[in-house]
Amino acid sequence: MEQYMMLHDYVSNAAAETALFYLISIFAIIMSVGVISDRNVIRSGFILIGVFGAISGLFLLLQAQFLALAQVMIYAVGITLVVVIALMLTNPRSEKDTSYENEPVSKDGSPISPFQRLRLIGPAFVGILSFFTIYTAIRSESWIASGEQVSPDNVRVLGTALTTTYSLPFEFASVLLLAALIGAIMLAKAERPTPVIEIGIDE
Amino acid sequence: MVSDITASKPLKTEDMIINMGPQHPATHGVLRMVLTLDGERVRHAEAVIGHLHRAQEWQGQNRTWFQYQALIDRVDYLSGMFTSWAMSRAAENLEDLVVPERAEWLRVMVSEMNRISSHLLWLGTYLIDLGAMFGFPFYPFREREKLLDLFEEIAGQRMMFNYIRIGGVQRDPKPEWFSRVRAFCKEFPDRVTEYESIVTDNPIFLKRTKGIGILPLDLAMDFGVTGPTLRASGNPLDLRKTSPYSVYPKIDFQVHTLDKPEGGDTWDRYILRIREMRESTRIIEQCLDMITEGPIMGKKQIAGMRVKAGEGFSAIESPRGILGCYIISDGSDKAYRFRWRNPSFCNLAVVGELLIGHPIADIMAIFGSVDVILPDVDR
Amino acid sequence: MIPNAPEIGKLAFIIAFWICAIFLPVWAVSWAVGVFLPMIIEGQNPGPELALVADILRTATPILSVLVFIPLNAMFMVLYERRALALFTVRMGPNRVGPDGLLQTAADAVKLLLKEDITPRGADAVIFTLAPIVFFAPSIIGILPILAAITNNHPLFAITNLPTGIFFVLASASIPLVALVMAGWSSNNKYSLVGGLRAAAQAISYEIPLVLSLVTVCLMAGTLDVVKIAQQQDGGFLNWNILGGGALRGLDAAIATALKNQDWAPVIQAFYPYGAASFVAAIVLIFCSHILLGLYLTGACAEINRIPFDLPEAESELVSGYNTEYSGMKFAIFFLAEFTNLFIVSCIATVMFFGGGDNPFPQWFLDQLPLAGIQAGLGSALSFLINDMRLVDPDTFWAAIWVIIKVYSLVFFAILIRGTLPRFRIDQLMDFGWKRLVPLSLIAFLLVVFARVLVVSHGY
Repeated sequence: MEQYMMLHDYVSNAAAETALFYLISIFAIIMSVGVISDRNVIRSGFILIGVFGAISGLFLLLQAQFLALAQVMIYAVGITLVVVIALMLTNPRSEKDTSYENEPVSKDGSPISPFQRLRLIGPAFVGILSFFTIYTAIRSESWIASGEQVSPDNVRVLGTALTTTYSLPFEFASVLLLAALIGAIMLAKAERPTPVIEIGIDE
Repeated sequence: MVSDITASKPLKTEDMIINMGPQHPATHGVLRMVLTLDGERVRHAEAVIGHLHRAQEWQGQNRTWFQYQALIDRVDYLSGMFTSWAMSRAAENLEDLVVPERAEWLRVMVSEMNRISSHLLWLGTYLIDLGAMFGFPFYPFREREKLLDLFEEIAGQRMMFNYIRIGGVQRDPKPEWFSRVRAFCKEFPDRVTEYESIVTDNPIFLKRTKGIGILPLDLAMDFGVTGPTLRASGNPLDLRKTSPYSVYPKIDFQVHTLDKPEGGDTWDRYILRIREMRESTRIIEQCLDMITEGPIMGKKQIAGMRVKAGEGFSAIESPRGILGCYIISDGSDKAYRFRWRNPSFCNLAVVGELLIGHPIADIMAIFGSVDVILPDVDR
Repeated sequence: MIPNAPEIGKLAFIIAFWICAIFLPVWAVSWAVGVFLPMIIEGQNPGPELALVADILRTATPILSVLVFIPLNAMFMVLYERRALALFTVRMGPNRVGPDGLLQTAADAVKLLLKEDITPRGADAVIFTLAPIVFFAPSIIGILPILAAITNNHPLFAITNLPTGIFFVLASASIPLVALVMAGWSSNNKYSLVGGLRAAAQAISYEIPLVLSLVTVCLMAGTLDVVKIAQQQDGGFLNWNILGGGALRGLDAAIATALKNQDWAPVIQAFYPYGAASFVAAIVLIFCSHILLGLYLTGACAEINRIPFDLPEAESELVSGYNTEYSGMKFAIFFLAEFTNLFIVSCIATVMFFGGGDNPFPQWFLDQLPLAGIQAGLGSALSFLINDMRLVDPDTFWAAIWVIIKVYSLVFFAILIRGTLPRFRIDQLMDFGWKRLVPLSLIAFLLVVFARVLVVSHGY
């Protein structure tokens, strides 16, 4: 039976892998463009969740199952969803005035200051610059691809690495998260006194 | 650091106005509430009533006495015995008519049974209001079904009884009926114990009801709240005791009240109704023992029935509070003027005050505990 | 003695009927397409194209069979829930459509299919349509490893077994949350929005105790692979994770031997060589695994929005929460996914705590029964089916029976809770989640870690 191509051979085939990579990448890029071009902030938040889902598909393609699932669970569902909910609660529609629609002409009709013009082209400039930096970095380095087979039990490998070789950075990260947690609790506690239920005639 | 945060200006928030009802599944029919919410907490609540207005008083003035008797049960569809009793008593007071004693015993009996069935329906729907959607609410309905069977046997109707008439009652029950009522009374306290074993000490139920919707006594008095809702706040006002009517003076019963200086919460109103159901069972048992033989009707029931000219008023203790009926008759076969004093109307008025400061989830817990029947509000 | 015994009998009949009428055909068809057909094709010594076809059949059938199985199963569970609730509430339940109400959910499904599909004015149509899909799809994906575990790694589902099993299930179970927020926001309805936000807040809070309890069980088992976790618990209820995950392994057999020989020294020698410490550790493990089961069931109830945690669709407050504006097929998908989630949650509990497809009787007890002879006789009679055609092997068959009993008992328990308890209030729910369940799950986690270190006498 060895002479036939089985289905998993096709899937792990380099050509199929490349095709799938392009498919997922194009999907991710289209969604990313959607995130920045959508006028509705909340909808672009939902599209961002889709982008993270596509990226986890890329991880899956690289045989990094654990990372892909963690990407879905933590980034796509956990963090981005909380951001979307925060957007819903703060009601972004009331901040429409500061959107880019009104930028080119200032409110009282006076000419636009250079600073305002910078605000317009600044993000685009930074984006293009960072893209090319990363692009040249990736292209210039000669990446060593090890011919080593990916371990089917890569969760175990990951766990061992995290608790032995990389235990110090791992602990640092957890301390950082703890600090963030305590900070959030302090902010939340300071903001709001305990609500008092008032019973009686409303004046 | 902390002082910096607290010193910064408070977060700008907006109130949200939500329209609850009249098609909201939990508003017991067609109540509409306009809620101003600060986050999840109610800042202001206004009940908009009138969706079920059927002009009961106007209908009373445009139908003959005999015709209107059939409509009275619909004023409060859960306690039809009480509404027809209130109207009959008002007419009897007007005429100085003496109702035969057996009829009075029967009236007390059926109306106490009706009180139990009304409270049972309240219990089931209140648990639905608290979110026990499927299990417990059917248990009270099982007992209510037995009561409705008993009503059907004497009145031919399960909800719109038309049993208590001006001058007496419509029909004399068969002897077997009394033994069936006695069997029900024997079994019913055990059933109440069963409900209590499921509900009263249930931790989630306690969390949802203890300390929620506290009604101080003076606020209740200001709004004219009556019935179990008032008694749960500490005022033992019960017309059966304070101004006894019918054969209530001959019966030994107790008016339950809760002595709470800060006012009764929703759990108090629940437990008070449970106790009232037990007390009503005692009253029915005494009626069964003490009922006398004799005629049951003191006035001829004919289509062209007339009531003497004059004014008559009666107030009785319905399951929801004091139910009053005021009649002016000009001696014809129709009333000149009708006026109902409905307990639900006054009790609903105070709900808006009770809701302030509570989260949305408590709205139905509080509204349900006051036991408002919308047809009784709108008439 | 039991007043509603006939009703209970009818419930049992419904379960038996559905299993025979629905599950067996699905199983037979998927076996024929996924196992038997590829085997025939490969037996003919085919060319490469046909071999590929066989391979595709073998790979795609488990997933397609799940697509068929899940709606049918959800339909069954709707009927099951309604009949069971009727049982608790002294009613009859649906008993008119078809024989004894068996076709009730089919009629409901047809009704929902024919209803008009309304998109409210002002709603975000794309997200409004996507939400039910995003809600339902992860249920199908997430059940795959669990199916491998509960069929005892049957050849049909062996391909869906993953090394990251339980993590995969949890990750796919977290995606529906996005759908709830999407549905709530896109409906353009304040009640829906509040329902969606509540769903998100509740699920994020209760996911922590849920995941921590499952992680602790994985710690006891030493693997994330659900098939391995299920297989480790073989050999009677004393080995199940609910009793400390093997802390009592072999105790029953040792006691049986001791009873025969009237000699207790070997038992003590074998199980508590280090004296009180390992005994205490075993007790702690058993106690903690019960706490873990409670944490898991509580968290799971909150994840799938069932009473007493059905705040996102609290009828007395929010009309119907996030799915207020949905009708027709979209609503049916929400409905379907809710019951599927209940099924998945019960399956996870079965695999993680109740031994998967393991029978509850210890091996020494089974040896005393004349079962072995029967099984051997059956085995030789059916050896053609078992060995040559791989239709059933005895392990899978008995595993399926036990899994059905265990899963539907857990579903019954969830229905019982639904029929008993009132609903929490949202702030009380959050208090309960963060102040009680999260610390409790962390404490249980630590206790299990220490106890695992202490149980040295019969660990792995």
